[in-house]
Amino acid sequence: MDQAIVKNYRRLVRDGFKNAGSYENPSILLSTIASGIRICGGAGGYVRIYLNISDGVIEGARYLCSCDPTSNVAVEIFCDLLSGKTLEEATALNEGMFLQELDGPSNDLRKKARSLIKILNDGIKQYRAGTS
Amino acid sequence: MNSEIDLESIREDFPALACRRNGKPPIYFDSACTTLVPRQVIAAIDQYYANYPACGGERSQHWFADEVNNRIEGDTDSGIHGSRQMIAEFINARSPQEIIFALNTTHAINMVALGFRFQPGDVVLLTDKEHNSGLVPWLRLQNRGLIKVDRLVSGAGEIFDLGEFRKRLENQRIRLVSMVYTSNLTGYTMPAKEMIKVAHEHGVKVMLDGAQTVPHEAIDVRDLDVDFLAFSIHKMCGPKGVGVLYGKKELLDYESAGGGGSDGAIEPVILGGGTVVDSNYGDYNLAEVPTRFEAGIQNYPGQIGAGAAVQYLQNIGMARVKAHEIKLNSFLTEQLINRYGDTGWFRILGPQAAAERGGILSFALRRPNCFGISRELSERSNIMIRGGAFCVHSYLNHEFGADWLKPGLPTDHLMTYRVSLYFYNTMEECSVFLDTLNTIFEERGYL
Repeated sequence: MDQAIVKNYRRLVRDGFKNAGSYENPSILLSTIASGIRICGGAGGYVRIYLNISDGVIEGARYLCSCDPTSNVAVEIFCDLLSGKTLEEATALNEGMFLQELDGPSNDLRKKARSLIKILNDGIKQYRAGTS
Repeated sequence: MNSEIDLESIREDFPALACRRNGKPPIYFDSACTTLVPRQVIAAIDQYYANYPACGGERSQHWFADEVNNRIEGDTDSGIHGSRQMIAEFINARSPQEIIFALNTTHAINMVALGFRFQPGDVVLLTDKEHNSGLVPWLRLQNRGLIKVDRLVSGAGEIFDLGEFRKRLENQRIRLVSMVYTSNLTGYTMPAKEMIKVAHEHGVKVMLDGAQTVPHEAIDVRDLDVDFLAFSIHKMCGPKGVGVLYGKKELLDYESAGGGGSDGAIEPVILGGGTVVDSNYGDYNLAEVPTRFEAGIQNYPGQIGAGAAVQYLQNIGMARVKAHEIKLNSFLTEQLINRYGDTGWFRILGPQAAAERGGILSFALRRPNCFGISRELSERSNIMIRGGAFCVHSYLNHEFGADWLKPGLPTDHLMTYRVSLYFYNTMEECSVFLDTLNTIFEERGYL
């Protein structure tokens, strides 16, 4: 793990995973499943993210996961970044915003951020199509 | 005879061990999945493709076909041992005719599941820790209403409960016992000889899934008196795509007893080229055993390589293989228990004594984000272990709950890992594993 991730992750272990949890009827449910998770029961990289939206504003973001520490750091930052944002602002999320939350560089976090931003944008598109 | 393995010379036989990544050698602890292959086996396969890449069996009568047949079936005139004979001798079968080549253990078990003549109401008894290969074929028959599947739960200390086994035989219409001989999850080897004796006293046939046993210790099917034994050559230094079904000869010859067969005899499941001696538009005559079970063009290079693999293991000696694995496993077990035994989040699965787990050491972790440790071991130190359910979903889902691999709160995370050792592993590799694992735990804030 990158040292910046190590530092951030240890903080999570010590202070708690404040965004962990779920909503019963989320406005948007995002899901990412790593390939190979099912066959022979290999596991990792499985995250579900629950977004509650009211009047176009993300009022809350929660997640459940079975993933490694780097993914968990990424999804915690993701939830922090999303809370309180309008959908417009959420679609403007970028990798740099994730990295600003760390005390140092991390290529691994950049990759995770890219993946989360993609599924977020897909989810918002579907949500808008369903509510328009 | 020296009881120790000559590790230095053995490791030189495995080209994969000479590979380097980031200046470091591989540390291969995933031999329960598949083993590394020595150059002697690679050479046998290479020679097939280079020198006589033809059909075996009785199809072709020519020079190349003879070369193939001599290596698989042997040549009694010139005293050449074929692979089939070598495998028969390796497990002390009565005859090479009792050795059927399959694709792997899964295929071999399916040959019995689908070829056995069950009667409605028959029960097949399994253990609670069957690999999907030894579970799913039976569940399919149960779902079709052909049999009932029952399972025997391990007794105290995670060992086979012979008393309960006897009770099941007395109280149920069990027709076949199909059990994993050595668990790929815990490494525990059941007391097969005693179990089979009791089963036979009740007129019940027994099939053993020997995928994790045959590669690791001397097996004597005659002494065991087992009816069917399935195993994979790729887990014993051989090529992929070759497995073996051993069956007592009378149980492989359903047809000769007037179609009624010896009780428990199996029929071939797949028919076609190579399995019959004659056919017309209305009927066919099956070939002799074992040919009738080996449909179509076979994996001849794999079968030849299987002979080379068995010969390689025999030269090392199975007693040495077993002793070496237990020596390494004892060291790892002691170190892991000393370091993490009191944490409450680390647990070795199965019997706690390494001597009862052969070369397998599986452990469960209950820590946030305890996933991805096998990937991290690989990236840091080229250490290859397995994480997940090891195809024993049924037992782990029962133990941990059906959602244990699904997304949950980080504080509820749980993951299982398996280290599986073989005779080519070293004490130094074990030390690198222990140090790397400890670094990962520290980095994650687990310690």
